[in-house]
Amino acid sequence: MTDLSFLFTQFLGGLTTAMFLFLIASGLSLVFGVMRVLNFAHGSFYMLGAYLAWQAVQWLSPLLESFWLAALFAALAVAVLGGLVERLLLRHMYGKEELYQLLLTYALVLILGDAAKAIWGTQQLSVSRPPILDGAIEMFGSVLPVYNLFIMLAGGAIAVVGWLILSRSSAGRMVRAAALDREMLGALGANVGALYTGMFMASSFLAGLSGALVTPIQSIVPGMDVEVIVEAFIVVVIGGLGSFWGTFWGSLIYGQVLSFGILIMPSFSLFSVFALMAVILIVRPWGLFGKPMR
Amino acid sequence: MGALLELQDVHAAYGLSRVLFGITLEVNQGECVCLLGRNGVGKTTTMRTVMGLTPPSTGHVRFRSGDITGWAPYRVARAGIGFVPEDRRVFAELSVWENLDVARRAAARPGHWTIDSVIELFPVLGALRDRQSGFLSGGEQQMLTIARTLMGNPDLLLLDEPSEGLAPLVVQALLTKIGELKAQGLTILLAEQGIEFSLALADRVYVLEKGSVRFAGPSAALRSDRALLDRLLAL
Repeated sequence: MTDLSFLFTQFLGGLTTAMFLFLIASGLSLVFGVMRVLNFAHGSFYMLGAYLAWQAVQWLSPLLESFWLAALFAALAVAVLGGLVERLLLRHMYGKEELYQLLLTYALVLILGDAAKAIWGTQQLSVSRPPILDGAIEMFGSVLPVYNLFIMLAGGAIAVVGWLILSRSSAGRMVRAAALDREMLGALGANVGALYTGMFMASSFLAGLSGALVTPIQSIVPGMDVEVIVEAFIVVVIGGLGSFWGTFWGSLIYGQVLSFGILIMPSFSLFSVFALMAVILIVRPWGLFGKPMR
Repeated sequence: MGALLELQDVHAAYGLSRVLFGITLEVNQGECVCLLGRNGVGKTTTMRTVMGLTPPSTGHVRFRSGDITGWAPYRVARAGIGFVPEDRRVFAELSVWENLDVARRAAARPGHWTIDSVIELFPVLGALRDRQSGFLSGGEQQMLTIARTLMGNPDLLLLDEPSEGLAPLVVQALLTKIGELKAQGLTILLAEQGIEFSLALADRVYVLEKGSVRFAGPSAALRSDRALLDRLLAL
């Protein structure tokens, strides 16, 4: 019986990781699916979300203690930054060789990483858990922090809402049409440039929000940007870059493989995920749910 | 009162390869004008310069006497020019209904044409409403592209080779439908290789060759003078 509850604890840990990664990777995948832009700086937006949330908590603390307000501020600020990046920089790269986009977004990784170090230093920062989500609950004999439960629900909610928007709303239909034939959509009267900016802002918002939401459970350190972008890339490679459900399942698989991989090979925790990614790249390079590139 | 659409000495190129060498033409309100010519003479490029998809290198495009040269395609569409591209280009993973809805939102030009009224014009689309458009036949896709463009309630319709690659029976049906649109007063600029198709519809014809206008005149002149037609389109 103890064995089962132990396994369940591992499962819940994996699920938390998974939903967290989904929050991050969904934006990355969406921007690639629609705009064909592989945004290396997505992890940097996530890092900025974390730092900005910490900063906002500091600013607000004399007045009130509101983690949620700080998180919202961070996500919105990152969305605005994303909008500027798309308008001023990325826009000039469309229709050119993909290498230029990669170089540009990689340059952003370096610039934003150094900027964060210059502003916030290199020491670890942390944000305390919002009181309402403090504590833990017991589930089938395993203890689950309430905050982790919240992350799982938030990830699930974003998945459902995101899917509903994409499949059922007129904005979602527009986005899918843009992914299929950008030029044709423009010739029908849609301002595709504005649509792209909006998409990129939404994706940046998700990255910034994830960064803010991670602060109560992980300390904020330089290098978290690169760490998370690697994880997000593994997720989308497994699931299929540009595929919404692929990203969801990719996150779930990543979370569980990591969580149970540690049991088998404690000192090589990441090895199992990389091994899985390598196998998928060999057998099905376009990912479990992706489509082969034309 | 000038023409609805005017092209004045339009030149265009894709990179270094020049395609149009001074096209001048006009389309009046209510007319059906045909650009006739073989593959690669510049019919599609002419339409793309009007839409702003391939902006002219020199020359002017005027719509309702206003200069629209160099406008972004979405502004041209919202000004009232609808474009039906030659290779159909339906949004393949979207259903028929979704294709129409996207077009309605994109142009944001409400008017006579609604999803219901385009389905009335092309009843076959009504039965296929929820079908993924990539699975439609060529003829059905062509009807969908026309219906989709009508959702923007254009004042001028650019139709690029609507009969291309379709079975004769389907072409006949399409001809009837385009005839209906014309009878309703829609102004049409049609690009075609097929003489029968274009002469059946057009009031006036421009014959293009190597990116220039080789002949301009009423279709009646071509219909009655087979020798002229052969000479213009020979080789």
